[in-house]
Amino acid sequence: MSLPDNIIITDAPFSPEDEFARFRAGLTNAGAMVTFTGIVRDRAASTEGANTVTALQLQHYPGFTEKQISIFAQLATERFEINKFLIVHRVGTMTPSDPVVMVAVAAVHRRAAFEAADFLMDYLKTSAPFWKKEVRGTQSVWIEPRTADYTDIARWDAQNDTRDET
Amino acid sequence: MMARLLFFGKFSDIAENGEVTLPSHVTDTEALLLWLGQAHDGFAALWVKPGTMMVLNHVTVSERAPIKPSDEIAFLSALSGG
Repeated sequence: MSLPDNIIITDAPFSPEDEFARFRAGLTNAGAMVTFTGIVRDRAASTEGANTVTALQLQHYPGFTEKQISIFAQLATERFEINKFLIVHRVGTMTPSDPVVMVAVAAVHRRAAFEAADFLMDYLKTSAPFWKKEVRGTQSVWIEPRTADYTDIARWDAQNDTRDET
Repeated sequence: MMARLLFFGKFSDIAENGEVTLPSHVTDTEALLLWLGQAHDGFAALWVKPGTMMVLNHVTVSERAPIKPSDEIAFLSALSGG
């Protein structure tokens, strides 16, 4: 299976501004574009141990991770009727303030673009095959999604249920 | 029989990725799990934790499946998300 060119997983630093410029080049049928960029924080995700993050290490399963994201992105494309999307995700070792993920969505109208970007990020934060470890000085701690991340993605199922009832 | 074993997340703290010659009795995923549990301290305890997965040639498997030469089998601890 060939990997889609709009799902990029890279161990090299990337520029969200450059990625967005490439994404929007020649795109004339979209009235709305939304981008989201996630940045490595210098504060720990949990309160366990030291709380200053010196590095973030991210693993993925080459080929499998792209395939899983692709399946979910197809759902997003159908659900929100978007014109185009781009997902760029860093792996390897990053330091605070590095961009770690970028999602860009283009749609005819703004609501679809906002919702699709939100939906894709909720998926990436909870269910995409990534594993991350925060390095806090001499310690390193594996990170799992927060309860709030699961609550966020459950909103989309709730919206489906509501639609089913009407 | 040779197989490619991959370990992600917390499993990567326990075992290393690589081509492995499996013992002759390891012909399915259940036997593989038992063998890995004996070969690597902490593997069996981690395997029973919520969210762990086994992936055979990029397809998640939840029941006993045969292993063929050159298969790729990955062990995934609970996902972190991106």
